Amino acid sequence: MPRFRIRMRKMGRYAFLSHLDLMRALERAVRRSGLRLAFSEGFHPHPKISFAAPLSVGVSSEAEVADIELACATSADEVRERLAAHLPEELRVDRVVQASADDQSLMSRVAVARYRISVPADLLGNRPLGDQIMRLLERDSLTVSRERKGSTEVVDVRPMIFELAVVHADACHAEIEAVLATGSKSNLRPADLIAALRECGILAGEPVGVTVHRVEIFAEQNGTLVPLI
Amino acid sequence: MRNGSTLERIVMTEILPLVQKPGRYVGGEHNAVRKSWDQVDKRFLFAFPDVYDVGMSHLGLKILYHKINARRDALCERAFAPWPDMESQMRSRGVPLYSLESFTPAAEFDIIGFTLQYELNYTNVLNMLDLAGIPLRSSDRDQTHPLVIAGGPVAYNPEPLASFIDAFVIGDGEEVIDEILDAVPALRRSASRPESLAVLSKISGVYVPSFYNVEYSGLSVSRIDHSPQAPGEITPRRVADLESVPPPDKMIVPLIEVIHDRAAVELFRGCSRGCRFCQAGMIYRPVRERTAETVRKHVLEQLADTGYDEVSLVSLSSADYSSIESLVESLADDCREQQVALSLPSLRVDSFSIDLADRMQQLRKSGITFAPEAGTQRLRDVINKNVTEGDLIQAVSAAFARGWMTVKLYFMIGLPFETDEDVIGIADLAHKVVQRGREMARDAGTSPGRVKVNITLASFVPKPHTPFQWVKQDHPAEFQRKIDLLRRSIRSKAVKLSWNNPEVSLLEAALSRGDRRVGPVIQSAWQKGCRFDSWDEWFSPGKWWEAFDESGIDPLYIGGSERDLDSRLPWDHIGTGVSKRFLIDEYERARRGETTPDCRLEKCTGCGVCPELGLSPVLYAGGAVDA
Ligand code: SF4
Repeated sequence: MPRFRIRMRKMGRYAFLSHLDLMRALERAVRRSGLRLAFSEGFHPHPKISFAAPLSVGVSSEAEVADIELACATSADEVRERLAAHLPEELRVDRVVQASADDQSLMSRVAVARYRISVPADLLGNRPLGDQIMRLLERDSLTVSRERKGSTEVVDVRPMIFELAVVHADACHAEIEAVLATGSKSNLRPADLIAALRECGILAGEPVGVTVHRVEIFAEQNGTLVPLI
Repeated sequence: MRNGSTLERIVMTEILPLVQKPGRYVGGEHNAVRKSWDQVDKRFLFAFPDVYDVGMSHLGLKILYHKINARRDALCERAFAPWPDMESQMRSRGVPLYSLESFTPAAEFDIIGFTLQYELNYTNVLNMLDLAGIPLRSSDRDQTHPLVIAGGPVAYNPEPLASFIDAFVIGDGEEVIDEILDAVPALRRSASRPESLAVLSKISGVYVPSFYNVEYSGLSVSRIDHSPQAPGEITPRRVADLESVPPPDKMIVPLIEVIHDRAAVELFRGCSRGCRFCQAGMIYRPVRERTAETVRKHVLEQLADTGYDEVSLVSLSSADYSSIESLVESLADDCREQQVALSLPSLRVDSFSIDLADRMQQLRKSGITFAPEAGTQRLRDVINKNVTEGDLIQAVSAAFARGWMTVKLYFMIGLPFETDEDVIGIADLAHKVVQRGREMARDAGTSPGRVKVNITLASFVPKPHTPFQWVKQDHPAEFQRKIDLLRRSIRSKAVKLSWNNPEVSLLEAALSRGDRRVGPVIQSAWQKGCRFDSWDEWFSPGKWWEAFDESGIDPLYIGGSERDLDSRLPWDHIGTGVSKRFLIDEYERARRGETTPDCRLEKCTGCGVCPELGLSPVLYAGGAVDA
């Protein structure tokens, strides 16, 4: 059965969809497009669609990567064109490639993701943001407490931050780019990074108006990072 | 004038990151209709007084939404009751109730139309008006405000909301909505609100409460006057032939998971089984079927246009559809091929229904619920639930034979003419089901210990326009006594019992048979913070009883008093088409324990709907009835 890897966006109002909502939206678009999905065997057959690295509700993305398996022979172009006609612009499918067995194993080796975080200027203090971030990166550890299934745990997030840089700043807002551990081995959600920025005083007050956008996700292959698609 | 984009920005960036399930408030669903405000001159806001997840499960909303948007000159957008966390964010940032399509404040629409599916949504209606910045009372509104109308089954007793709603629409909405929209230019030309309302009241099926003056004595109406332009009794609207109102194909598909998240095509409207407690069984008569070809065509088109993986064939009792077997047969292959689940919303108590459900492979998904409603044959005859113990045993046998081990049974408690034997009868019936299941398990070589029966009890609520509209509801203490009696009568560990909160039923009874004097109570309960009263986590009975107390009205008096058969009831001027004579006869027959057959199976039983409204039952596979 042909397997395709697709890359789609999750922008605007659709950022507020959950991971499951996005799965359903994609499944329904595939059904509407007339492409036939492949299903798992068993008592409750479900469509063979899997997403890499689920995003939190509220985070937008231009790098939602999913593998879908179809029950009919077709080309990657055909898949992209058909899905384009059945999804809104903000959920646009930007690329489709036929997925090889190699690609499949990449999915399980997602390692990092790059995010762009936009912060309203009124949440930032007077000290230059760039300097503060530099100082933060010099630290060996940076602990935050996060809620996990009702209990609070203290974690050191510093090893999960690979890059952090101010890429833009003006009178209204600043944009920070962050490369964070993502995946089953170690995972830092942008919300936890924001909590850490608050804890060390870089952000003041409730993070109202802060937006997060995922730019890219990478898997680790032979010691280097490669985009999933 | 419209500041939709500013609103949208505030909601998206400042509010939604802080609330649960933000997908409820963003719109943007597949098949949602976005029209330019400048290119239409009639703007209708469909307001559903419950949370998005409930509202978007409602087929009626989708029917009217797509119907209105099919007009070139009109648009329909949607608003739902914001969950309390969203409400508090909206209030603290001054965000009004807005439409999901264009983020337009509700107050900017020409008409706001509420659908009333449940009395316990009343406080949400008021809350939504308030969030829209619209004065709650109709008399405080003028031509600068939208018209506020309401329809749905609960509108058949409109009196509790009479001072808040400008006009009620009684009956099927598909045809009357066009007439209302056609009247919008005339409404605009009207110099005053009463003039607009006069225009509306000329449309058949529209009830403008402010044109009626009502006085009460005790629980009955002592005097009712109406202005000359309004009819003395409202004739309900009923679509004569469902074939003339095709179901929506490009049906809106929610982005977040809702309660009924599936395609749905109505097989027929109405039910003439005649259960005497059931309001739906009276107010939607006669039975009007769609042809199997039409249903099939729309099922396939809806699936193609929505991408859903489940389709439900809906109606009040789908196994009663004349050509149900051939329809299911003809759809089963398509559905299997597309991996689409086919389902019926409710199972009749017989083995035929189990066979059907089995063919549709429905049972795996949803489990089995049967509703015998009463524990003894005598009481089932009283309520005209034409189900015998034999039917039930056959039905559960069919289910057990297919390997099903747990059966859910649904009963009502506090039914009219109920005795303790009837209550104990529920336990006896459950024991018989367990026994049957164990026998079959033994024969099949499986463990009899796995057989389980779960009983769900609902307290009976007398509803307007039914043969039981005059009877009293049991006192909460009596409910409790009966529940305890039943608990003591259950001797098998395989039987589990659950029941709903009797306080909810008490409130429901007070609201559903309430009159205009209940309006201020609803307003005061809302002011005390009541919202989402149908949700356990928000229901605050204490605030409600306080509100009743302050208004000097006893909810137990409204719900718990017997009414005279010859008294004038507060909803008598709202016609259903069913004659009062028939309701009285049915009540008398109930008292005598006599049943009344379904007019689909035998001859017309004279409920009056057909001659009164110039209709006749529409059935497509024999079984013609002469009314
Ligand atoms: S008038 Fe007769 S045929 Fe028509 S719904 Fe009533 S009982 Fe049935």
